[in-house]
Amino acid sequence: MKKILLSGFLGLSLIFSSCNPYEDIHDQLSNDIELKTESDAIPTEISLDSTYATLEEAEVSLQKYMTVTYPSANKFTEGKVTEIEYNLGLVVDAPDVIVSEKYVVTDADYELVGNGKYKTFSKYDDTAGEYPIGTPVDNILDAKIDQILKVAYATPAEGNRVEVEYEYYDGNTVTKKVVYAFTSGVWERYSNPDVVVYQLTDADYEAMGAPGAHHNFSSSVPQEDYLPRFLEINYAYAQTGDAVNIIYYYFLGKVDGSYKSEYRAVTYVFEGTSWKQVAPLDTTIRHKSKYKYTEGVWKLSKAVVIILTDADYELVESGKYHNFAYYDNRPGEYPKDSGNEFDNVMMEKIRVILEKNYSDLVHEGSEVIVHFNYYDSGNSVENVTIIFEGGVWVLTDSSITIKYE
Amino acid sequence: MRSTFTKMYAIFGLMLISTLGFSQGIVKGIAWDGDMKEAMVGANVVVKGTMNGVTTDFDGNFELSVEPGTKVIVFSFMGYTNIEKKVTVAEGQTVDLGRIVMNADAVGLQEIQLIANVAVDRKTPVAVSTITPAKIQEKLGAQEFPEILKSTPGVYATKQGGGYGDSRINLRGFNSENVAVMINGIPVNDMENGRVYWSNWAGLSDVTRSMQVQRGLGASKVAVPSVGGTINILTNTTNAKKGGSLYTAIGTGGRRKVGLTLSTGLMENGWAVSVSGAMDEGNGLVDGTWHKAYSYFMNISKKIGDDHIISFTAFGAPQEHGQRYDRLKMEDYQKYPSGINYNPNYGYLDGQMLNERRNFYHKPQISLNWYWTINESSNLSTAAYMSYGTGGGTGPLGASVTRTNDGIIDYEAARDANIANGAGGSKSIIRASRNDHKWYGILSVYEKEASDNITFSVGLDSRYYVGSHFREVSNLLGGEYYIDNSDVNNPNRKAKVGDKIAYNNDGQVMYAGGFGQVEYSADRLSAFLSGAISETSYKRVDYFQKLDSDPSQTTDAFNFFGYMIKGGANYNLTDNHNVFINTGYFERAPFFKAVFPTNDNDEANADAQTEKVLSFEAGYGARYSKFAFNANVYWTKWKDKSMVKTFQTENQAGDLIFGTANITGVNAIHMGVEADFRYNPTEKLTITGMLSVGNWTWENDILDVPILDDNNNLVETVNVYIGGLKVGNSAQTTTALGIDYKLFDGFKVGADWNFFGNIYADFDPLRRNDEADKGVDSWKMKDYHLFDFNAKYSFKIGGVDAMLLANVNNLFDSEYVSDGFDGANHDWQSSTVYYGLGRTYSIGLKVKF
Repeated sequence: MKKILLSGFLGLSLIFSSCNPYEDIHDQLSNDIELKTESDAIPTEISLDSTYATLEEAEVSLQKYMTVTYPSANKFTEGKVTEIEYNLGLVVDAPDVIVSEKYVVTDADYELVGNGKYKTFSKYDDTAGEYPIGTPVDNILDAKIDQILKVAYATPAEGNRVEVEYEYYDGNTVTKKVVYAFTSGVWERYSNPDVVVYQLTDADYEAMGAPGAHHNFSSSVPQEDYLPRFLEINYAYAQTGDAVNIIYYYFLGKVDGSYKSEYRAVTYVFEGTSWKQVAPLDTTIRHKSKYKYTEGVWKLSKAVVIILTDADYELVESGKYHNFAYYDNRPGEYPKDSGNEFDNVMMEKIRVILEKNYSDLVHEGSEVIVHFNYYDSGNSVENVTIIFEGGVWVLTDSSITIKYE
Repeated sequence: MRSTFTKMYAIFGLMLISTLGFSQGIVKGIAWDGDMKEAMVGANVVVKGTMNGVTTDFDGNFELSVEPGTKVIVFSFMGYTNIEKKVTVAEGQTVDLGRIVMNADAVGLQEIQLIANVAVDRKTPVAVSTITPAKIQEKLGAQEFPEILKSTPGVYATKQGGGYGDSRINLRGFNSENVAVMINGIPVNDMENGRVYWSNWAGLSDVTRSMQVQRGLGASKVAVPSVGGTINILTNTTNAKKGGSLYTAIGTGGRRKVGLTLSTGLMENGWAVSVSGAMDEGNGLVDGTWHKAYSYFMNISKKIGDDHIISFTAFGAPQEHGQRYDRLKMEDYQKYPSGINYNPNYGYLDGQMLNERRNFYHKPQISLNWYWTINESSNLSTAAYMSYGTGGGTGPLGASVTRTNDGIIDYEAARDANIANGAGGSKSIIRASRNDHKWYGILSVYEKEASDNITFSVGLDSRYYVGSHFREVSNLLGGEYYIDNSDVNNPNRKAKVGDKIAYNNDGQVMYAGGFGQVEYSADRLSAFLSGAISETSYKRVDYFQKLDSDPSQTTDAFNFFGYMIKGGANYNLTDNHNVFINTGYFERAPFFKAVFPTNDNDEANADAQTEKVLSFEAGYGARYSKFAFNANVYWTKWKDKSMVKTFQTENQAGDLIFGTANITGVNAIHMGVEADFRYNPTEKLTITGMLSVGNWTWENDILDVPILDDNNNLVETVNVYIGGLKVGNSAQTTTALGIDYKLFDGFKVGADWNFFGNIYADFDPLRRNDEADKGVDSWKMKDYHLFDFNAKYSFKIGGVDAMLLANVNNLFDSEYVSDGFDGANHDWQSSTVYYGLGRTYSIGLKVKF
């Protein structure tokens, strides 16, 4: 008898001991807490170095960035707003710095190409013909200079440029400076139809005054202060859209123990009345955009997030506990006993707070996410999302049920 | 008192092992309770110096086989003085010792039982469960005092937050304001709000002699709020025998307990003195719930002649403990490593644990009892008593404090902010809300046996009570002072630690009651009819909101009349079966808060409604030598629960004032079936069981109640949608099964299974104003099972009796929610909860000398 009873009791204990009544709920909760922790780890503010030319470009890229960077976003991320700061605008790199070497055609060179008699070129060279005889060329002068430079530079690199100075007779003898570039095994006359490349000479620096002291610019003598005026003087007849690349020498100061300088380039464009620097250029600003996780996707949000302050609660008869409560979340009068009935007292209080304390947010299309303390059998922080449309705030989302009855 | 538990004791032994084959004699007789004048059930009858013994059956009979010769037979029962009888038995002879009268080993016990209206088995027509001192000793372990009752029908007892003394007990679904608690017959429910704070009595278990639960209206003659029932606690009085005991125990959470009892015994000069003291401390299982508690008890009794006993009793249980005060959503517990033991109410300051919710209380209760046996047929018992309560609970005040990532309060930050606030004083402090009181009372009962069958008793019950409610600065958290502007007599005060802030008022309660009872007792029938009337008078004194020069600092008296009438009868169908019925109706004064709902002297609610209770009950009992069974059904209607609505209105001068309106008709019906049994198939094995099925619901919706202002203008209408909703906060179904098994002499093990089901989260019915929620019950909590284990080993060390006690509660470490408060969506996600404690153990050693 008692064995039966004892074993019955033990049986009973085995049946019930294994059952922790809240096991399922606890498992679910710890899983949720993990998800929440992951979701909470997604920052609400992100600062990026990336640069986007337009908001549209940024929206596409940043949405992708959020999706790729935070695969941990989950159901608890729903409604979360992350603000990303990035560069918006244009960055134009400086033009290539190409410094031409100078080469002065010598008497020997004239002799080499058959012009030794007058030691000058002439209009008879600057025309199509044969050079050497039997080889037709577009321009004899170019072919002769190609021959000269091939002697002067045994192994030129592709793209090398040389400013060739020679005498030219066209009734009078003048000195000409023409840039030749080594392209595909041939020295060709260098020409850029869009951009004029001009390399400042010592005389140019001296003419500008202060830069003449060291024949350079520097941080204390910046090019921006001189070159527009220089261009006005030297390109007096420039037409709108004309561009000039100016190559200048820049003093870097002490680098690794010794003074250093380097060549730099800057592009100016004539804009009808003045010369504007167009490269290098950085027109970007730091811009902030909010992305809200909505139905599993990060979407650009124009909403402003505000967290109600003690002063806000005090404004609307909720100053005692600095919160809203279940008894605000229902129809009723506001202010108390004023006879003014509202569908939902809490929403009315929020409206009043926005009107009085956040008036800059009250404009057509303004979207605001209001976070507030809420009491209903316990304290929590809740939020509502509202948009100002047609002169009224329209509720679009909320973390608790807004009750109208 | 012996009544029911004697039955229980029958368990331990009821087997008359008189089946021995060789030549023996027999000693038989009846053990008789000299105090209660009834058969002594379950008394031990042993041949001295041997292990040969039996226990008496439900009728007190025993039959013991003994070897021929002259023997000394020892009769013993816990709480009673041992008796030795010399007897000479010849082979084959049966010696009838007749009636062996045993008397309680305490002085004045019988008399106190009379004042306390202890129910008598098969005579008092109420449903009752009694816990004996032996059971308290065996089962208490690390449990809270009220939890000892959890295996009796209709009881739901929890530890709430889990702090020491923070337990509560609900009876038949009613909370403590509807459960009368009496200690030695003296009512201890708070005079203002009717509640019982068990932390006041946490150490009382050390000096408790017995605990009886009378469910329903109960046997008390005085008007007590026994809607759910009455818990009758009898403390020790003075041991009739010289000696003492030493007790020490350790347990879960670094718990340590030491107790000592000494008694002179009843001396020849008529004096008897007993003293006991205990110390109890520990860190608690729940984070931050440390405790340090003491208890003391002294009783001095003097017999004057044969007719008078004067007994002076003083006891108290000063304690201080950290609480877990805030219930949290389940999710919030899971967030932190402590899990279900997480406590949001503590932090650290300068490396010391600081619990913002510290409870401290000391309520010494002193009584002087005089028992006068006037003549053979009449007696007068009088108890004059007083209790001085001091203490309260701390909590945060001012700017809210932040938490660390571990979820504990960042007191370092709070202190830095307070210091930074400089001359502005502390922004965040810890305050103590004090609830001191002084309570004086006299309770006197005159009893007269008018004839063999009829006994009259009349009595008076007078009480005067002043409750002092104020807040004081408890901890400035680094600041110099706290600026408080609540006292019109002392505006903009820079309050320092100990200074009163926020509010300071007294509640004065005068209570005068009278009662009378007629009892009829014939052969098989016993019946009673009793009535009580009372006048309760409330005054409020406001020291902060009213200038000292203002006569309205003290309000006029507001008087409320209450009465009770009840009756019942028990009929013993046969020697084995009895049936009983009882019924009663009472109206009781509204609580203080209903009279001053806005805590403003000028806005007293003189029309506060009395609450009404109507109850019917019928029961059946069976008593056999090895089996006892009780069953009963009850129906209780709680009518016009005090519901006071406050609203703002304009008075004639055009000022905005608060108005109050009494809303009547909030009713609840509690009905159910309760049954319990006890079975001892053999001397070594005892099986007990209990089933309690309740159906407790709020009765009806209350619709379109107009709230009118002084000028009869409609202010608003109120709807309360509670019709058919289940009453929350208690398990409507409970079951228990227990076994005790004596493995060998002196060693006993016991196991108990308890089931709690149909528990709905607590909610405030007055808040169910949303029609959309109509008919939606509060969150139904999950049913749970608990297993407890206990072992007791009795042995001798150097000639003194010693006892080793071990308990494990919640053996399987079940994670369950014991207390839930309903949330907005009536589900577990929105509700806030307390978890029950995980597995706890305690091991104790008791040495008697």
